[in-house]
Amino acid sequence: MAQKEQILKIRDLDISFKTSAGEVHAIRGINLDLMKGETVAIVGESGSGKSVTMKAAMGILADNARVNGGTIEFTYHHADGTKETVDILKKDKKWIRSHINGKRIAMVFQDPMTSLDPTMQIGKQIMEGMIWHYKTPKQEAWDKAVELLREVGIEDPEKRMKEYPHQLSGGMRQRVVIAIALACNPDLLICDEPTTALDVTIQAKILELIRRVQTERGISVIYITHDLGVVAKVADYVNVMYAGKIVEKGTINDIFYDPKHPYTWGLLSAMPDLDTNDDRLYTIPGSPPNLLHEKKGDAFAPRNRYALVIDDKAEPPMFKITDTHYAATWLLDPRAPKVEMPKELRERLTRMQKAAGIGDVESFLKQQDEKGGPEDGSNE
Amino acid sequence: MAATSNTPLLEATGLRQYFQVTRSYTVKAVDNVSFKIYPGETYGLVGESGSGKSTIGRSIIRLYDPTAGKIVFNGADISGKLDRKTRDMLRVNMQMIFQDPMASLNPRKKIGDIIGEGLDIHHTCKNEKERDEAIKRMLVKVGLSPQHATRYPHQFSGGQRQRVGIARALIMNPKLVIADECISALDVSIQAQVVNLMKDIQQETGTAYLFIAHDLSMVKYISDRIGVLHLGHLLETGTTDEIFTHPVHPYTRSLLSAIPEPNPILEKKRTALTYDYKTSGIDYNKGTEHLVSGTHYVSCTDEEFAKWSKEAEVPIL
Amino acid sequence: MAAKKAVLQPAAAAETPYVPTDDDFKLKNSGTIDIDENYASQSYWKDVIAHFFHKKSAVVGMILIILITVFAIVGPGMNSFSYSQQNLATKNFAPRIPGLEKLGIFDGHETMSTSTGSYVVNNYQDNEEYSNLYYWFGSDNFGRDIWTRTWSGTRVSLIIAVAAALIDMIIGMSYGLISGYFGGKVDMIMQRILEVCNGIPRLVIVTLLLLVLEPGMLTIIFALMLTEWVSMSRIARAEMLKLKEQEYVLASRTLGAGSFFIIFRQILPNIIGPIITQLMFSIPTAIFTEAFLSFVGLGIPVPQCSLGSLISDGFNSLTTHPYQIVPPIIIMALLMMSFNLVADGLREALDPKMKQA
Repeated sequence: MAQKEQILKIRDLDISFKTSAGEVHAIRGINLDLMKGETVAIVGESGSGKSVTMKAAMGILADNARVNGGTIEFTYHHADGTKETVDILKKDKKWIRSHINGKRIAMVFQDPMTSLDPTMQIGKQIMEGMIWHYKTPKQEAWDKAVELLREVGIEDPEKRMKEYPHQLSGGMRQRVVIAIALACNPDLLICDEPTTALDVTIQAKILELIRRVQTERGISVIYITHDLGVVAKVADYVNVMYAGKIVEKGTINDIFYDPKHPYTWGLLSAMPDLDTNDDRLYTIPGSPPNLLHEKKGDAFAPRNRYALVIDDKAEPPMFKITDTHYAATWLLDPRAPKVEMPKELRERLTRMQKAAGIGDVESFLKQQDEKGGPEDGSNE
Repeated sequence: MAATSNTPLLEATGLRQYFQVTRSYTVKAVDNVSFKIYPGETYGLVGESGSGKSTIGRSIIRLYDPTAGKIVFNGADISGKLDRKTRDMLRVNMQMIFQDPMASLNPRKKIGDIIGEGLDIHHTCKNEKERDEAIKRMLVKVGLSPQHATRYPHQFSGGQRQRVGIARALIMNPKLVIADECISALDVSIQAQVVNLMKDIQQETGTAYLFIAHDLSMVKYISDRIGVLHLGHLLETGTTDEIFTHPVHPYTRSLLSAIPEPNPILEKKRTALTYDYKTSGIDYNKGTEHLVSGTHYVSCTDEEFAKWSKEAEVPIL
Repeated sequence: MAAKKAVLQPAAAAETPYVPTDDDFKLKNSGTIDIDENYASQSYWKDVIAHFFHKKSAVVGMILIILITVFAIVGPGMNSFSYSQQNLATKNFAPRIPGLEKLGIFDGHETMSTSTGSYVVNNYQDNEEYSNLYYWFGSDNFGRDIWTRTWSGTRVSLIIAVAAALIDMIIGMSYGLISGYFGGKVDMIMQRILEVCNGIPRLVIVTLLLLVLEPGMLTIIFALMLTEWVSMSRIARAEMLKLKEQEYVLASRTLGAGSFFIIFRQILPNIIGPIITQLMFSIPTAIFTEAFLSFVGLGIPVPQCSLGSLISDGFNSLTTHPYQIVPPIIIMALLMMSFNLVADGLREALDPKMKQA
């Protein structure tokens, strides 16, 4: 297998916000990698900093944000095929607007009603980006827009071009938003909770659409979500975020079949699958920390049933479990007591593994690592 | 499973709720819906946005005046104009938990006063001390600290606020609580907390829930019986087991097939069934109630029933 | 599992100065964590105040308002003159301020322009007995001290404006809230009445009123009150329409709360922001209307004065003694500007949507 090409490389990103109540340290040292053609999901509760990270990558941070350090290296291709790598954080907003936003990195937001302009025909909205970034002639842009609408599964696209957003249903609107995002052939698509505002039946269709478009065009996708069902459907790699830090990262199978961090345990078991019959769900107690009051040691400790004494004294480093799988919890230190994941989750994972036809998790994950990627393990 | 007795706590028959938008245009948000809720059970109402599930909840608790139909709650007819006694009974015994934890608490009121509002309105407590005690007990019950009583809503996270909403509803010891999408605005881990809390309280107090949601996996987990709603019509109803193991209506089947499963290998291979009312050729208005088995009913015509029963033999999951 | 554990190592060396000991690797929480103690410590009003003081113009406005108010209270008592005390012998004296007169300004001289050319006069030097006389802002053509009259006029104007605005607020707010909350037919009828009220030309109704009633401060307040409540009620109604479908209001209804409890205990505290802002904006309007009425002669009866009547008096001798009109004009301009600045600052501080997350 050829060396994969890196699209996005975030190193030691550290961002804080100045508010009237004090300084909020929203991002506390994040590393993230994204290869060409792959899908990375960032999972976390609201306020964990997942959206802020992506806003930083788009260069659209709010005015009261301060970047304390780190780099966001983004690699893209010019029309003639030459490669260029830029550090988004070092560029000014104007440059990013004309060179990156919409053109190289496109974003799909949560609510299709607010991300579309209600007073503009949808055809115009799709063409806008092409005309602005590439100076595409009008007729050509029109044809391309019709083609895009067809690609995202909208019937009768010529007629739809002249319609306004309010004439479409929620699912259709989100399809239009995706068409707009794809209009300029971006290298990277960032989807910020793309389906939370939609109904379940439509949600599944939209996710299937994004996945299909991605494979056809070979673009990279970053999902920001708190819904593990969505993650299971679309992602190759998962980063679990908590209080501005990544606490566990790995391939989708690492995270779902062999989670190591107590927070991931809680997330997984909090979502009942259709076979859950336990009387109570295992949950993470308490509520997310307020980042105004920074805490010494591990930010997750107050909600962690498995917290160690050390958690209050020092932040856990990233422990390596396999080549692809890392987790930041002191439980992985050799000196730590051996702690088993909660019983409910253990049973659940066994059930999941059986359903998925995995005999032995460890050897399965090892095999997958040797093959060099989770997609080989899942899409046969 | 909660024990069910034979007299329903709430019985809605032929409930209709229309909203006149203009002189010539009327939205039929709820059209001829009938269902029963027994004491101590959880009835799940599922459907997509705009299916009328929230409207049903609000009609029953009389935030709206129902256009037609009969609602009997706790032995009293609450569908028409309410006399004082019935209204007081209704306002004490039926409570609601709302969807948006940001909007459902008055931002200018202290947590303690929000929870104690019902007590204040109905003069339940003899003196200030008794009231404060009741509020503190309730706070602890929903997993918050008694010190929180003097704080304001904006100082709390979404999950904490939803707990306050639950406390406000439960302090009156209601017989029925309508939970209107009460977890859909919360993060997954917090959803589980709230659902656990609701289950615990049900076990302790024996209150019944009308659990309105669009998330089927949570509905399955919490409900004893389920009703599937689409475009204001109740399409299928039955026990949770009946609906999930043997769904008959194509809409129910498409809903079930779309539930995301946290199992990546399976999930990536699955595609959801498609269902489009306009092209399906089904007319909800023509449907009549057909018994599938036990308490499992589906609304359809005779031909449809024959056809779907055959299709339903094929499992979808 | 065990085999994997053995190869585990920190991927990056921990940079914490703290070196963990074996004792640190013990489970901390034995049982479950039941009670959630988390909360944020920020407070709404502290936030509002911080935002308000962050805005320089609003602070300047507030300082000016406080200064002018203080002078309106103590100013008339600062020298020996009273606002109605006339002395025709010392009429039209130019400003003379002790201390500053040594610098050659405000020493009581003024330039008179006549048909034969312009020349400088100093009335204070004409007579020996005026050597200790100081009209700080000069005297008017009845020999009344303009300093005293300006501040007592400011006092009258402020009282009229604030009283009128407050009464407007109470009437307009209640009207708008009730109209918006009940909606339907009630709203329809109340809005038609309001439109009729709003349709009557303000100046006409005020003029007629002042002719019928005895002129004085109360009459002017009454006149202003009759016409100014409309905009306040519009704001209150709009806010009510926005808030009445909020879930906390519905929650109150499901708990059996009465309408007036909901209107005044649940909703009112939430719209106090826009109401205060509107109140601050309506004060300068009231000051201006009062001044206008006084200017055209419909205001406060002599010898009482308001900023408007002072400007009117000063206007008559504008060409000969321009200094007479300057103090009331400056005070009025400052007052109106300050109230607008403060209102603007308040609006931004109170409106959460304009705040940054």
